[in-house]
Amino acid sequence: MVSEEVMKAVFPLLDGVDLASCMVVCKQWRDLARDDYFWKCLCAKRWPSICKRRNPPTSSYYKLYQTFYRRQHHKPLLPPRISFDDLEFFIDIWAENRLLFSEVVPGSVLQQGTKISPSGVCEMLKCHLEGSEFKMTLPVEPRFKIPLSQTETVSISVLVGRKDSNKVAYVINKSMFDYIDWSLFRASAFEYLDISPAYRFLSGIRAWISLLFMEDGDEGAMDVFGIQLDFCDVANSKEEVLWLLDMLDWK
Amino acid sequence: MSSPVEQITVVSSDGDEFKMTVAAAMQSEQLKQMLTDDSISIVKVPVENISTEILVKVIEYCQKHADHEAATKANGGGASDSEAEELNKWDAEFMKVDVEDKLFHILMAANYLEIKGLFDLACQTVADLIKGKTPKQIRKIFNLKNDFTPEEQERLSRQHNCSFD
Repeated sequence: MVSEEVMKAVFPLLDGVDLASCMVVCKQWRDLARDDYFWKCLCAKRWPSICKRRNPPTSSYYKLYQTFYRRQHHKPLLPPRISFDDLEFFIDIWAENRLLFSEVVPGSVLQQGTKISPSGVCEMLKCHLEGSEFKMTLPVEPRFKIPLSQTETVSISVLVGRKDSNKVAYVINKSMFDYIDWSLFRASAFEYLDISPAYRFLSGIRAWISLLFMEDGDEGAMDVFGIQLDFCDVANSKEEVLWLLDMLDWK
Repeated sequence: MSSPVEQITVVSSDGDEFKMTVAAAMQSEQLKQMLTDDSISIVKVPVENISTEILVKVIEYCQKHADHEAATKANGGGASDSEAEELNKWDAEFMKVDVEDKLFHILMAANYLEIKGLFDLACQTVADLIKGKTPKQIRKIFNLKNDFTPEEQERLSRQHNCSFD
C-alpha cells in the first residue's frame, strides 16, 4: 500500500488513458483516481472553456473526458429494424421490349448468396462468389443469353417490398447496363437511391446491380448465370445494407 | 543566517547515524525549519520512518543539489545550460533505483522531509513508469496486489477498454 498523499501527487502528472489504467490496478488506486478533481484538471487542459462553468456539463468531469477525449471512429451500428425475411425484390430485365428475366426474389435468398457457380465460370468470379464476405447474389435459372448486338439495349428495374408495412420502394427504377467488363465477366448498372425525406442531406448513394456471365464462345453472347446487388458506396455488411434499405422512400 | 552548526546528524529508523552538512540539510524544508529556529539546539535528528538504505539516498541527493547551488552562486547566480543539463542527467541516473524497494520509499521520505526537488523528481519518475502501461504491467512494476473480485475486475476492464482503448 502506497501512501495516498504520494499517489495524489503522481496522478495529476498522468494523461487520461494512464489515469484510467490506474483505476483498474487495485482498490486503493481506483478510489484515489476516481476523484473528479484529477479529471477536472485533464478536462481543463484539453478544453479550458469547460471549466469556466462551475459545474461540469455532464454528470462528472470523468464522464466528460471519457466520452470526448477521442473521436470514436468505430461507431457501433445498432441492430437494424428489418431483416431480409421481411423483404422481397421484384427484378425485371429487358432487352429492348423483350423480357429476359422476371422474378420475385425473397430477401432470404438474396442474403444467402450463391456459393456454387456452374462450370465454365472464370476463376476470379468463382472465387468472388465463394468468398465469405457478405454479398447479395442470386442464381439465374434457367440462364438467359444476351447476343452481343443487344448488350447496349439491356435495362433493369428493381423494386423492393416490405411485409411489415406493406410498402414498396425503388431500388432501381430503370437503368441500362452501361458498364460491361469483359475481363471480369460482369455487366453493371447503377442508379441513385431515393432516400426517405426523413433523412435529409443524404444523396449520392448508388444501388449497383450486375449481371454475372460466361462468354458463350460460339455465338459471342453473354451467358448470364447470376445477378448481384450491392450498395458498395456505403454499405458492405448485412447490417449496413438493412439499415440502408430501411431508409429508402417507402410508399 | 548565523548558525554555529556546520553539520547535523540524522538518525535513521534503523538507528544508524549520518552526518549532513547544513547546506545539504537546508534542501529539506523540515530540517531547514529546525536549523533556522534558534530556540532549538540540534544534536541528532531522528527520522523515524526512513530506513538507512533510503536515508543514504536522500542525503546523497541533498548533498549534490546543495553543492550545485553553491557552485551556481559562486559563478554569479544562474546555472548555465550545460550545468543544468548535467544536474538533470545526474538526477536521472539517481532515480534509476529498484522500483519495488526504493522508489516509493524515497518518494515518501521526500514528502516527509519536504524536499521539493526530490519529491517532484520521484513523482515524475513514478508517472513515467506508469505511462503507456496496462494495469497488469503497472501492478507488476510496483508489486501491487490485485484486490478486485473477478467480477469487479471484468467490469472495470471492460469499462476501461470501451472508453480508452
